Amino acid sequence: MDFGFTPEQEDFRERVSSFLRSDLPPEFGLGSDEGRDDDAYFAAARRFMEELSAKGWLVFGWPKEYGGGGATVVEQAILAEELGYYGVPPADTTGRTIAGPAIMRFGTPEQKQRYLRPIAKGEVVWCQGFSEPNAGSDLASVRMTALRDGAEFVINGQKVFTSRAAWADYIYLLARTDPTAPRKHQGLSMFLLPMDTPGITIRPLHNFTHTYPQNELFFDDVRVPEDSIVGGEGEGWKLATATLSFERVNLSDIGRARRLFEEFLNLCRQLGAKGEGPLDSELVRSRIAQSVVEFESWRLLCWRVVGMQNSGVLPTFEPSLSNVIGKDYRQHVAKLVVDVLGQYGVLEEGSPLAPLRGRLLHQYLYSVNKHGQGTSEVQRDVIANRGLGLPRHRAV
Amino acid sequence: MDFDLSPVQRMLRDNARAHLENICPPGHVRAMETEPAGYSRDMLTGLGERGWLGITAGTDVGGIGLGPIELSVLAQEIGRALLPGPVLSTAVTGTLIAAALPDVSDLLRDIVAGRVLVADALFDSADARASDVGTRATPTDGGYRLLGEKRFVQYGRSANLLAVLATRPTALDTPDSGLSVHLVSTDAPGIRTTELTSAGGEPLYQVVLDNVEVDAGDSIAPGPDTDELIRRITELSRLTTAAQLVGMSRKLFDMCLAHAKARRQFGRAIGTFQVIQHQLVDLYAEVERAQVLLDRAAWLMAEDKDHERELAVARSAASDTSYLASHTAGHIYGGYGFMNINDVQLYYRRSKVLELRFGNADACRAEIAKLGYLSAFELPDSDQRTVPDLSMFGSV
Repeated sequence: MDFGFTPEQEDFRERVSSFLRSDLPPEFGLGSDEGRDDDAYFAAARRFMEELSAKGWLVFGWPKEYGGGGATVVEQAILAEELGYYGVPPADTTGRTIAGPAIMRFGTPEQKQRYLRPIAKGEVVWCQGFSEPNAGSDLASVRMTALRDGAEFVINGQKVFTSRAAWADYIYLLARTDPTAPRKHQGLSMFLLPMDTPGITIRPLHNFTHTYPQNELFFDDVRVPEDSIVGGEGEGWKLATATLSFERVNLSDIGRARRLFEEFLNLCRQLGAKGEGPLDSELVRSRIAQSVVEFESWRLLCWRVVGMQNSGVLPTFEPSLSNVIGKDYRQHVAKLVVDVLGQYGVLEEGSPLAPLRGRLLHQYLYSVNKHGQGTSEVQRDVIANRGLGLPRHRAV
Repeated sequence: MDFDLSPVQRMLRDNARAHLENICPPGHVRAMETEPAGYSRDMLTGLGERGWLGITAGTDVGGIGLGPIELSVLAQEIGRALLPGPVLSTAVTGTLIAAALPDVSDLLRDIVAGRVLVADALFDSADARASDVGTRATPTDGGYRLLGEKRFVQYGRSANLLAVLATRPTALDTPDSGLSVHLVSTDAPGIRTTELTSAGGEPLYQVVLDNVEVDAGDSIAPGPDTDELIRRITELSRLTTAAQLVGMSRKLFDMCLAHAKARRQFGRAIGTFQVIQHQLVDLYAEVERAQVLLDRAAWLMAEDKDHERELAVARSAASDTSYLASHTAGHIYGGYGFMNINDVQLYYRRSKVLELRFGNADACRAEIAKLGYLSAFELPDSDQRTVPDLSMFGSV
C-alpha cells in the first residue's frame, strides 16, 4: 500500500506547475470546465497546444515513435491534474484521447503515418461524430449511412452534439455501412475524414453555460475514399466501445474541481476578513466538510484507477465509478457555492460585483451536465453489469 | 502509487475472515445477545492465542508488532462478523495503557494473551471528548480515589478491567490536560453498574465510580506523555471504529448483491431491474469511497505522516456509509429485512450503535472544517493569477 508520490514524481509536478504559472496565457479562465464559446479563445487554446507539444507534454503518454513523450500513466495523470488545476482549456481532446489511440491500435501503417504526427505536434483538432438525434445513450442505433460506391463510400445523415466541429480539421465518425445487418451493433464502421470534405454542413448549438458550442452536422452525399475506414469495415462498434472507455477517467477534472474549491474557500476567507463571513457559520462549515469528504474520495478513486493501470491491470468498470462520483460531487459543490454567495453567486461573467469573474456561477450552470461521456445511468449500468455481475436489463 | 493491500496483509484478511466465519457465524452473534456476559470468554482467549489481541503490541510481550494498516484490516473483519466481546478495546486501549504503566510486563502479557480483557470506560459519555471528563482522581497514599460516572460502557461487567480517564480534583496551572489514566477491576469495591438496554444488543452499562481506590501501579499520572497516550488511544479507536463500520457495510453490500441475484419476482431475479441495480451501484460506490478513505488514513498513520484531518474524513465517511448500507439492505430485502430471522437486522442495529461512538459524522465534519485543516485547500502563494477579488465589498 502506498498513497504517496516519489520525489521524482513530486519534482515533475512542480516543473509542470511552475511552467503553467509563468507561461499560461492570461486569457484562460482558471478552472473553467469546457472552454468558452468564443473563436479567439479557442484560437489561443490551439496555440497553447503547440507550446505543450514543444515540452513533450501534449501527447505525453504516447509512444515516442508517434511523437509522444513515452510517459508512465502516473506522470500522465500528474500532468493532467496540473493542466486542469491551472485551467488549460481543452483543445484537441478527441485527437489526443480518442481518435489518436484508436488509430494507434486499429489503424493501417498509412493511417498512422498520416494522422498521428500532426496530433502529436498540436497542429490539428479533431471532433467526434457519434451522437445523432435518435441515438444518444442508445448509440448503436445510429442511422447515418455510408454506402459503398466503387472505391468510395457515400455518407448521408445527421450528427448532433458534436463539440468543436466548427473548429475541427478532422472528424472521427461512426456510420452504418451495412443497413441490412441483422443486429444494430453490426454493420457499423468508423471513418476518419477531413471536415472540409464537400457536403458537410455545420450548424452551431450554443448552450446557456457559454462553453464550447456543440453542433449539428448534416452530411449530404459526402464522398470519401475506402481507406477512410479505420479498424475494418463492419468493426465500428468495437472501436466505439473501445474509445469510450479511453475517455472516462480524466485527472484534469480533478485539478479543475480542486482549483474551484480553493478559489471558493479563498473567497470565503476574504469575506470573513471584515466581519462575519461564511466560514463563521457552522452550517456552511459542515457542508464544506462534506464536500471535502466527497472530493477526496473522488480523487482517490481516480488515482486508484491510475494505480491499476500503472501495475498493468486494465480497468473495466472502475472509470465509470469515478465518473458517477465526480458528476455528483460537482453538482453538490456547485450548489454549496451558489447557496453561500447568494445573489452574488448568480452574477454572470462581466457583471459588476460578480465574484471571481463569474467562474463559480459557470460551475453551477455546467453542473447540470450529468450526461457528457455517457449519462450517469449508463455509467451505473456499466458498473452493475461489468463490476457487480448483474444481468443486462436492456433489450439489445 | 498502489492502493492495494500487500500479499501478507491480504493473507491476514483472508485468514481472519475464514476463522471468523468458522467460529462466529450469525447464530453465535444472536446467542450472545441473550448471554449476560455478551460474549464467549473461551473464544476471546482463543483469539488471544492467535495473536489478535496483541496485533500492535511488541513481540517481547507476546504481541505481533504490526501497525495501523493491519489493525484496520483485522477490525474490518471483526465488524464484518459482528464479533461480540471487548476485543478491540482490549487490543487497543488495554495494550497501550498496560504498556505505559510503571511496571509493565506481567499485566501486558496477560492482556495480549487474552487472560485479562479490558472494557473501554475512558470518556464519561460516548462522544470521546476529553474536555467532558468530569470523573475526579484524588491522590491517596498508595494511588488514587476515583469519583464519577461513566456512561455507555460496553461489556462493563463481564470484562476484567475498566480503562478509565479522570481529572485532578482542582485544576493546576500546567500545560497538560490534567487527565490521568487508570485500570480498575470491574469488581472493585465502590463500582456500581446499571445495565442499559441498547438497540445494539451488546451489554451496555452506566458505571458509577463511588470512591474507588486504585493503586498507583495501575495508574498513569497526568502529564504531557499521558496526554499523548490518550491521543493515541483515541485515534486508534477512531480508526478501528471506522474500519468496523466499513467491514459491516461491505458485508451488507455483499448480502444485498447476493439477494438481488437470488430473489425472483415477476418471473425474474430482482437484480435484473435497473432500479435495484442502481441502488446497488450507489451503495457499492459509497463503500468503495469509505474504503479508500480508510486505507489512506491507515497508511498515513503507518507512515507516521500527518493524519488527523484524513482520519476525521475517513471516520465521517464510514458513518454515512454504514447508515446507507443498513438502510439499503433493509429495503432490498423488503419484508424479510424487517424480520428477526434475517441477519440484516443484526447489522442494522449494531452499525447504528457503533456509528455514534468515538465521534459521529457531524462531529467529524466539524473537525474537518477547522480552519487549520481547511488550509489543505490553499491557493499557492506564488500564483500571480490569484488576484484578490473584492468587488463584492463595494459598489462599482
